[in-house]
Amino acid sequence: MMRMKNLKLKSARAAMDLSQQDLADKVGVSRQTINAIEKGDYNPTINLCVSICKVLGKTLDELFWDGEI
Amino acid sequence: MKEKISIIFTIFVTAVVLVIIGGMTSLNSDDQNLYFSDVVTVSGGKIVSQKTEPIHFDPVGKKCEFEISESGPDDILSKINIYTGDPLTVALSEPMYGTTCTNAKIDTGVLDVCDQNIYVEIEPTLVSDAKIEDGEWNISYRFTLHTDDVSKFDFIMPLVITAGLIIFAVYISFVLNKVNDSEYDEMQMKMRGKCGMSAFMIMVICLLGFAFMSKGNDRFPFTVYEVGIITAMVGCISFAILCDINDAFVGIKQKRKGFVILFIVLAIVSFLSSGLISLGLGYANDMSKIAIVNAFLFIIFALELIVKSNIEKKNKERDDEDEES
Repeated sequence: MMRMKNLKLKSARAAMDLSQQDLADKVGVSRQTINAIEKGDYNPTINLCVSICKVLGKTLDELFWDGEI
Repeated sequence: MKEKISIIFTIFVTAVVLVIIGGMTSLNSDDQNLYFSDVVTVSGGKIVSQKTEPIHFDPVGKKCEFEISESGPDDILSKINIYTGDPLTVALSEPMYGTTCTNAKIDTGVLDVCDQNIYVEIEPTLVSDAKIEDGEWNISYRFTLHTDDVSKFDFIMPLVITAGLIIFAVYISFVLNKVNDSEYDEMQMKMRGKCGMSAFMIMVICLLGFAFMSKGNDRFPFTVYEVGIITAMVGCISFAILCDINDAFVGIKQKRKGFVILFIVLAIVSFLSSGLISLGLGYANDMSKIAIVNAFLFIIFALELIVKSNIEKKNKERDDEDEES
């Protein structure tokens, strides 16, 4: 299966001037988990997606919806 | 709810297994039964085969009753001598009991063993008017030792150990569950589950290897205890390595250098204590196989930690560069 990089998440995080570690600390996960989500290595649960959206001030659609699906 | 049921199930299974092991050990009869056979070669009306090596018993208590029986051809007698004490002096000392057994005859007696080892020596002879044909004859023996002199310590100790292990199992179950909930995020929990399955598969394959190798192979050099410890160690270290590869081992991640040093030291100590260096490769039976396996596992773990540390450093640098750009 082809891995899909989550560039929306990466750019939203960069826009808020947050490092992977900063976002991980705010969400309560490890840096590796945020890294894996951005690289497309790991599909987060809806709970984690919601937590990330809340921290970055975005909706689920904006960060995790792939328009091509 | 499901988590609680899982913990209760874990504790229940552990407790049942421990109670069975402890109970059976505690209540086990002190009767010792030994069945063995000897092939006697008769040629030209004489017995050709040599005396067998003394058979060892380790009875409990001061006095014990014994019972010995033999089954084989009627023309072959078995001179049986029972000695106590050091195996090296058995040949020189006087037997504390001597008897001659014939086919199906049961002999009994009481031995004043005084907590010493017992050695049973058997020498087959022919009756004076033997009409037995030349050939190889199989004689079976049954030797039973019975003692009532069992200390309360032997009875209570397994039960105390069982109770202690059950309390430890309950504590560990709750602590592990708490640590998993507080220390690991969802990706790490998922990876730990996968790593646990892989480590379990490694253990099963390891056990299958031992089982197939030991089947009918007299040269199999491992005892049941060694098989158990080696399998458990392989499973634990495999689980730790797999978790570390998948970024799902918090304890190691925080003190990687310290763990590298610790495992290298443990590997060196295991190698030195194994006897591999002092004895050489030709003396596998005299070496501590557990120490050798542990040494290899610790080295593999230390190497994995070093490699993973370098990979993490490079990943961190690359991610930092990405973020700056």
